[in-house]
Amino acid sequence: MNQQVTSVDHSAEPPAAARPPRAPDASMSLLRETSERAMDPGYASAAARRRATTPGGQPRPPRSRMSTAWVAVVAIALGLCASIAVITLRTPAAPGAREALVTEVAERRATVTSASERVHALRAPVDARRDAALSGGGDDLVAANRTGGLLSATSPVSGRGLRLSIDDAPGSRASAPGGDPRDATAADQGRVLDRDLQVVTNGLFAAGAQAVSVSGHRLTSLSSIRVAGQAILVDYQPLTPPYVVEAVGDPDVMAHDFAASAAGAYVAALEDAYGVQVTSTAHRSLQLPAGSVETLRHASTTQPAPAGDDAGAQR
Amino acid sequence: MIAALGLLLGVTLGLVLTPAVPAVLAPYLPIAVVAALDAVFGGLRSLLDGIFDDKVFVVSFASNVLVAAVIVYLGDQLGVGAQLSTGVVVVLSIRIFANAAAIRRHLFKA
Repeated sequence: MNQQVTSVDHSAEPPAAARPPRAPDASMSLLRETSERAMDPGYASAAARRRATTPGGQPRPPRSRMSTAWVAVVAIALGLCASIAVITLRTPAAPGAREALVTEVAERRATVTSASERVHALRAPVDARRDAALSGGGDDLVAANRTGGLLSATSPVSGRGLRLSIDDAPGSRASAPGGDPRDATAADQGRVLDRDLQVVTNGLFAAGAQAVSVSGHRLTSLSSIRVAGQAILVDYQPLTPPYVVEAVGDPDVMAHDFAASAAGAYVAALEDAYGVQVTSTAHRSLQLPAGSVETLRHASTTQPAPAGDDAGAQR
Repeated sequence: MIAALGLLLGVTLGLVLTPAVPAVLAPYLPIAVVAALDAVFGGLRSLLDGIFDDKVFVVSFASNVLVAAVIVYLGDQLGVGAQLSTGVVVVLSIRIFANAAAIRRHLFKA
């Protein structure tokens, strides 16, 4: 235990008489300290103190009763703490951890919801002020702004339109919970995929829809419809079936054009081959929320820009 | 001797009662247990050396556990909790090894 590595080259250092010789293992003093003084030095000093107070190696005087009681109480407390710690460490991960995470997710989601509600509530006064500020520049600017807001889905839209309800084939959802998404059984074939929603929404836009939302999520030019695990995400928000696709526009024209398009044929094939349930209804008044928060990405002054209806200040 | 008896009594109490530990203390448990083990081995060695002392044992036990917990807490606050815990475990386990070797020499003379 006490011998250490001593193969240090001393030839480089001339032995200085004044200072004490450098220990050959000075650079390893931490390891030495740790291993040589492993036992608490308190024991040795307590023993030395006892020897000093009771010369001649007599048995030490009994400790005071108070001190003994203290030692006993602290020892019991320490033993209690130690065994509790060991028991706690030995039990597998606390079952409450999952619930705690779920609660936290719910709380954070509620925060996001309230914050986005506030954004939507603040948008109306902002729009009003902007319109007031732009009114000096003529009606063109206000109108261009309105169009831009509609196209970039930064303003809510209401009007006539179509509502498509798309749902998994009956029976396919029974296998959903806990199932492995990698083994595609016959039942899984009837599930609506992100690709299906992409085709439907693109088809609706092609058929003349001015604004489209999926289960309450307004689609913008930057929206994504993806799949993660078994859930379809629209703008990274997971959705649950049935998926409600709402499109504002002339319902008759849209229904006709959509049915005649490739997307319509695709939907018909989904219904026939896989049993996906699609119902389409025309509505007099659909309310579509605003989509993403308006972000300024490009701006230019109106003076040198060529006069026209391309809105320079819109993204 | 009273310290060892008290420790045993405390361990038994803990096994019987099995109280729950608040989640705040959970990160400090592993290091605290290692520190407690170190104190127990040190006490055992001093017993074999014939210099065991109840008070020193209890005080070293308590201070080991407390200091270990404080180091982990500090590390967590500084963002180096894992590294500091590793350092503490390394130092304590070297000490445990050294004490265990001394005990072995006492018991088996080898």
